Amino acid sequence: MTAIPPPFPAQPPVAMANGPQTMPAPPPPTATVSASGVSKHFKGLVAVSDVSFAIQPGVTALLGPNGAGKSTLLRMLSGQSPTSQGSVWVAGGDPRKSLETRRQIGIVPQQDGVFERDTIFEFVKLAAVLNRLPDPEQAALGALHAVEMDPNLDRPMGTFSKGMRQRAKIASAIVHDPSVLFLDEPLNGLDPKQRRHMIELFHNLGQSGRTVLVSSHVLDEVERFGSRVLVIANGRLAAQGDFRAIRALMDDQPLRYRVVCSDSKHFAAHLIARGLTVGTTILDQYSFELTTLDALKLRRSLAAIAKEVTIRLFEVSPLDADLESVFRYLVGGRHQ
Amino acid sequence: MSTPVSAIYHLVLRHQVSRNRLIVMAITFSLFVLAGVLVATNSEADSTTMIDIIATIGLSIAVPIVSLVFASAAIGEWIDDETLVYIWLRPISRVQIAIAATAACLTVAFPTTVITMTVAAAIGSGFEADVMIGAAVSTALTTLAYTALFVALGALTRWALIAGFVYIFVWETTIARFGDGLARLSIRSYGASALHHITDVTVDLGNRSVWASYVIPLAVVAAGVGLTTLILETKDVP
Repeated sequence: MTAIPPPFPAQPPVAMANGPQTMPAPPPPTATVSASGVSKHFKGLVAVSDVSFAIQPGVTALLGPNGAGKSTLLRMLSGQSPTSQGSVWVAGGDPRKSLETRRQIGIVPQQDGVFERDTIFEFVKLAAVLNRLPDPEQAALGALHAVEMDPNLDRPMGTFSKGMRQRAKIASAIVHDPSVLFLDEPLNGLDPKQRRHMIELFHNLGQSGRTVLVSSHVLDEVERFGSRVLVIANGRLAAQGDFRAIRALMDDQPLRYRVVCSDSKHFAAHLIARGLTVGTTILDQYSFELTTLDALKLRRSLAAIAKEVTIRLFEVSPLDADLESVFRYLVGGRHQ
Repeated sequence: MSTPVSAIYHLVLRHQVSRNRLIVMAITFSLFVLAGVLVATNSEADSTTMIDIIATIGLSIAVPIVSLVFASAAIGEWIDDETLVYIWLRPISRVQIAIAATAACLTVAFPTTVITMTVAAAIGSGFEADVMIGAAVSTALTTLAYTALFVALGALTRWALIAGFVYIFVWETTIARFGDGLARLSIRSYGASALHHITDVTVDLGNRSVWASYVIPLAVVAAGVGLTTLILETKDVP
């Protein structure tokens, strides 16, 4: 086990909606993963364009819609795919060239493929052997225990559900206790209990000094991974920093909410009267949609107003807090 | 304790055995044993006939096809099912992966080709020692070379099986016969030459020197492993 490095320094969010970064900052001294001007082209198609960042130990979420370039970026960081331009630096080396760097990396690829005829124990033990661990069996047992899988499961992995494969891939990625983990949509196929467990596992790995980069296109997941995010859209780094701060940037934009309560017309009228909404649409007796220019104030006042006017408030759900909305804002919405 | 090379070797070996490949092995064995029996029971045929069958059908078609079926799948299957990353990303040199994959393919291809040809030669020649040795050695040499080459082909392209068949039927069985210069680029000509030198029977394309018959196939093995290593080093891993 390596010494736990100093905590991640607080950094303000940096939105990069106005174009590619032109001046990549030098990686901080504690950075374990960095990219400098990284681009990837496929037969004239630009998958990733001029991306630069540096991340430190802890959990960082790589956020972006499907097709944004997350997997391509992770594949370049892990060394699977060479960069078309720029360079990556992982745990002190180039993962495409350095065996020592590869020893430091664990990866959960997005694809489902596993060695279908192998049992889960054989699969994870193989990773341990290939990493030249002194006791591969014990390491495999430990990794399988960490993902709550039975090492005695004597079925070929070809018969596994997606969730079981996903946990097997995570066990294979952590079996050699890597200092850097690249996890590409690792929660796909897991049930809610398993998701909670895996998120806790990633947090523990991050807190014990590992650098964990987790990609996801699900906003809710990203919030649970932690506050540090890299946001990628259309192959470009759209923002990086504290996720809550990035979302707060959206609060100066008109945001829509759906409210479910015991009397939609009555409650909507109260909100209009108090200047909390600039538009409402009554959906039915119990629900309505509203648009607000001050989301923070609205969120803080809703419950109190409902109590004051004796209306039962059942549900308030943001309609613009989904990832696509974040991207609309970060990538182009602010110019519209 | 299992080493990375032996772990990869056993992994490839486990995945080499499939129903379709077992069928290929069984058909190859059955056809050549049948050929041996037919030669043995035909009063007009002799051991030269059996040597001809081994040189023309065995070394130019059966051996390369069996080698292709096993070898193209070794790394090719990992690329197809996107599992190569679980091997590639580990701290092991690419040449170790290439050697382990080639060795595993040879482990299954060798019995299929060498035992088959030797048994067929034994039956067809009435157990003549030089025919049996010639069949075993020539088949072994060509199996080695084809296997190493087709492992690289499997790592290079997802169309390895088709590309391999084109190579076998267009190059090895057709173009290589158009001249001595072209024949030098045919793997089977070295196996055929070894067969010729051991049995002293003239066979199609069997006019390479003794040293070339043995050294060139081994050089092709080294080149195949080197090519596989290079492909793995430069590959965009799925």
